[in-house]
Amino acid sequence: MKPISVYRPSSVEEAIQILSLHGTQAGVYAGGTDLLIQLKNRIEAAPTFLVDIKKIDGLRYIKEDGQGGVQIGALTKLAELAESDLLAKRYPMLVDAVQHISSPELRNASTIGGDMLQQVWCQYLRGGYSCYRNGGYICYGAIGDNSYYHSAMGGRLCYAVYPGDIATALIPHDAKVKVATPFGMKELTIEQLVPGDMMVDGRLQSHVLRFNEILTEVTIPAPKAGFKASFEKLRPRGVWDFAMASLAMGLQLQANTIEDARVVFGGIAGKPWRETAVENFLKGKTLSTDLTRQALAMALTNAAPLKYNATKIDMAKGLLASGIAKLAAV
Amino acid sequence: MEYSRRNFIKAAGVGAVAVTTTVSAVVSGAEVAAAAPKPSPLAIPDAMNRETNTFNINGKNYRAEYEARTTLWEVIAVKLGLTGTNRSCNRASCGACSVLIDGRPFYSCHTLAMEAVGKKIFTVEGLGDEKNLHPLQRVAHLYSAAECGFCTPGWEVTAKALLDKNPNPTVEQVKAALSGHICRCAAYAAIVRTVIDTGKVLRGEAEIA
Repeated sequence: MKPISVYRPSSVEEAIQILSLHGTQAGVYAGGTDLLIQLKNRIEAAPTFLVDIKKIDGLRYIKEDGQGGVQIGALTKLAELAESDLLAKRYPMLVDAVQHISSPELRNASTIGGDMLQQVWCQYLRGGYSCYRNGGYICYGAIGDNSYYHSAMGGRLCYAVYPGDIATALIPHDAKVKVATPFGMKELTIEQLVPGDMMVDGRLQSHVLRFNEILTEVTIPAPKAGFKASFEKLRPRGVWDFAMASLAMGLQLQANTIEDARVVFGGIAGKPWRETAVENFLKGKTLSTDLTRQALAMALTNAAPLKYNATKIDMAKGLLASGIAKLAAV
Repeated sequence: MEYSRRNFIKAAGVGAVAVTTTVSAVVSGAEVAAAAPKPSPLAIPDAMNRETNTFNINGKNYRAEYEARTTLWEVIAVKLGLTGTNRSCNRASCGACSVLIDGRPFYSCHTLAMEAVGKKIFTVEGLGDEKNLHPLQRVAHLYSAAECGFCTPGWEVTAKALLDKNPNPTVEQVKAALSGHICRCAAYAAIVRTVIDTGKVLRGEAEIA
């Protein structure tokens, strides 16, 4: 592993000060499940001055506000989300998504903030190749083996897919995140947080946080009556792996008529991919499996698969069909 | 933190002519330099590179020196010589190195040593020894759930954590709990049967032949 130095600040302000001091050489260390692999593989872009924010009080909680929404601290472990009764009652789809993330051991270690801000799992980047994300000027995934974790919906520079499931599952709930910056707090929607393939502070990354900004809280508004959601995920081995394709679907129903729809695919593009064509088609329709054929014809029409990953589009469409069937059956 | 004049001036850069909405006067460069305090380097504590601490492993206290980058497995197996816990992939993929920290399974190859200081660590040495095997180990031996045995210390402690919490797990629950473990001998069926039947033994419903 790369030699590292660890700071243990006791407040968010102090952590931001340390991050600002070291620039892009410093990085936030929370669960560490993603970061330690980067350090072990000696990825050049990996930070060597770690700011351990686990000593900061008040970033690890699941609490309910007056309006029925839920706030989750960024340091909350995935295992705590999976076991939370409050979340299981309010947002069963989110809990379902969390239970599909990797293994119990990793869920005990990794945090909700880290899951949303994790580095992509392209085998070339993780193997230390000098790609766009690692200080180079080429994407090996676009020209090499792209059968697993590369985008089937096109890309700009980096073609790796955004791997996080929590961000995908939070978009149907219209969740927001709070970010501590040197100049105060700011609030972003999930789509603003992970627009995919962004150049920030000279680094290519999936999220928009600068080197000295810290994600502190996830806010989920209260679900309205008649909200139904489903999460499904396809993985190479069925366990542990990242999504080949996943679908988080949320429908706001009024007596079986769809008032509002969210169709978000994960694991097929550089960001959680919202398919607005299908959303608009579903609005105003009566929920039944009769919608499936037309919805499938409308879904992912601008797909641009690479040499080996066209199967991701078929997987995603299959998930859409089973998602509609699942919600229509409930 | 709120948007204040001081932060605005810091952001705008010292020397730039800054006009604020609350203060009517134009602030000169010299005044800005005086108003914005320089961040004191003393305010930030030193970074940790190497330290010595006590680890509580299987109820015993061990003292070990470690670097910031030292993983828990390196402390347990290399520094302290408790070689029961195996490390295989070193990338949080295979589960052979699992230990319990405060009763929850963690990959010890993928947990920094500093995380486990002051917490109760449980390794396969705490499960049983040659003279006094844990029921899990005796049933595993009976069913040949350990073929080469390299993954065994990992899934046994995870299975113990599962059985402590839920002494009567279903096959699905066992598979979900052990999903982070790879057995290259593919003794998966025997492993699942072992955990289910050990539950029966621990509940007193069955005896080991």
